Amino acid sequence: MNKFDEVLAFYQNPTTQFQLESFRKRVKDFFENNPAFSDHLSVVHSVKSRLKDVNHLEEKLVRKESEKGKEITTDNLFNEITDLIGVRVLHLYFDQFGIIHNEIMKQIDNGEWTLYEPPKAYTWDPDMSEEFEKLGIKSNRKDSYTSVHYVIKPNPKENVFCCEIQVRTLFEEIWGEIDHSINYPVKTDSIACAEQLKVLSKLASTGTRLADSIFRSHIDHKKTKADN
Amino acid sequence: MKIISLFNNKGGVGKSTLGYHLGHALNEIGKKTLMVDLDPQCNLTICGIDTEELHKIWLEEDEFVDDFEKFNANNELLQKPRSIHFLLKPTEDGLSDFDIIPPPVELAQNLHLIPGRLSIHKFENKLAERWSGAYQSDNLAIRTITKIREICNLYSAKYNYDYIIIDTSPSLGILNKTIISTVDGFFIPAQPDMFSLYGIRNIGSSLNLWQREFETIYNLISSDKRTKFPEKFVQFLGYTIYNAKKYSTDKNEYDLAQAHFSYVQKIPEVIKEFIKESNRVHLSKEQIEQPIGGDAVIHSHNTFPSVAQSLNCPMWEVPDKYSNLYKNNRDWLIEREIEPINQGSYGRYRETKEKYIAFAHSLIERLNNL
Repeated sequence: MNKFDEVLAFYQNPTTQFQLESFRKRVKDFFENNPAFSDHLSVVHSVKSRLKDVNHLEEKLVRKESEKGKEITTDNLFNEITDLIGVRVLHLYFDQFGIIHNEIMKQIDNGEWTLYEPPKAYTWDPDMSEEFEKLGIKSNRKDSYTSVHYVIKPNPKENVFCCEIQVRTLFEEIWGEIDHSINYPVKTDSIACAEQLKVLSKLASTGTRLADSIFRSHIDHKKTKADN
Repeated sequence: MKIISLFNNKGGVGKSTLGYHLGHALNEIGKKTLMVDLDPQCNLTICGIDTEELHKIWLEEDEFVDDFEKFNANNELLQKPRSIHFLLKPTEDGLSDFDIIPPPVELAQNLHLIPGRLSIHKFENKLAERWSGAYQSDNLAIRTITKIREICNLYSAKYNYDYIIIDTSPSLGILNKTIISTVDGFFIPAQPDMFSLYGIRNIGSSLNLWQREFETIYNLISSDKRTKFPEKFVQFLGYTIYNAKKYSTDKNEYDLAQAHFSYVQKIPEVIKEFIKESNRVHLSKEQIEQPIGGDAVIHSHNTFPSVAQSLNCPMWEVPDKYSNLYKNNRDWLIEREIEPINQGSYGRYRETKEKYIAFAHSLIERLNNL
């Protein structure tokens, strides 16, 4: 009898799965069908979502215990493992991020969701850090990609599950996908690969920057044309 | 203010008669009470008001119950009593509520009634249709599920009731799931037979199921929406034996036929087994064993309830009401084919009052613990 069996059984219990699944659908639907995101070009490019695979959960439980000495039980699972539901929101260029962030914060303000922890941005780029700080998002230095993570709950009740929302651009997503293929489940020991991935992360950010610039020029051009 | 519901899985046990007399008894002891008839059969309403009067209420509403969009909120219909279905109609059709609260029917100075309506099944259909939306925190779904409770609260805010009594149909369908799960307490009037034992079993297992569903909904909705539901899941207040034949020859505690008595003896065991403890935390061991009010309302009053119903008053008021009508409005009695009442039975009619008051006190005692 594995010591995590009880937690894993609780996670896989139909009632638990039903609740997680209901909330996953709701959050996904919020990003896919929110009228605030549909101007001539959709603010949200696409949404991916999943419930945590039970094997991955088991690995995480083992890691939590060995690395942090934290024992996960059915009582604290929902508060310790905050990505049982994961929703990833992809957009094309940085200027769209502000709109997405505002809509998420509106959901928090009107009580539809509660924030379980403050939103966190990860980036290696000091300019981006500054942009995030302007929006009131604390920024953490990360060598890899740029991404913003929110952990929300449907309500502040003790022992209600969390949902992790990750917001990033398509360029950053590509970087993440390639990194994942190379470094997961086992981190590569090839120095060359690791170095090239670092370069790719700069390239991805540059892509986002350029996209921003293109869209700003495009909008500006349209405005000038309309004025004349 | 407490919202109470009466339920029995088997029809025809005198549930509405008991509910009606409970309302009057509460009124007698100075508790302001509202009765809401959510049984499509409308027996409670028929006890309270003349069928003619009910027909008038229904007739005025007919076209709007078919299609509420035609309704204009300034309509004078809202100045007169309306059926519970009419009050639920804007929610049923997903339209905005009117902000006037139509007056309830006044049965006595501090006893009010919101009449029932046969067409309530339409609201029930919408409940069924929208139920799954509650798990998605859908506004209309939550509004539909909590509307009955909200109407109770709105009326209570305006009229300041001590108690609201909701009468239900004898089914375990979605309307009763919604009613019973969103009131504060419920009790079961039962006859001493096999059906009652099964009825308690059924409601017990349904309660468990319903509670799980509601807990799931509560996990998924915002705290703001959560406040529309009761804080605690409904509590079982107990049972009472009602309308049972009196046999003084068989020597047992309640003067029942021995066969009947043996069913009564089994009830506490069935309660303990099928209604889980968390749904009856306020009941002492003794309160589980004993019918509400002891033997106060156990025995059948034979023809008294039907006479009381035809005169639209509680049994203890029959003598006065009848002699009054006999003196001043004999035509009314003839029109309704009301049989002459033997003066010799006046005393027994009047005696019912203190029995129902004893029942009401016993119920209040249990309610005070909620």
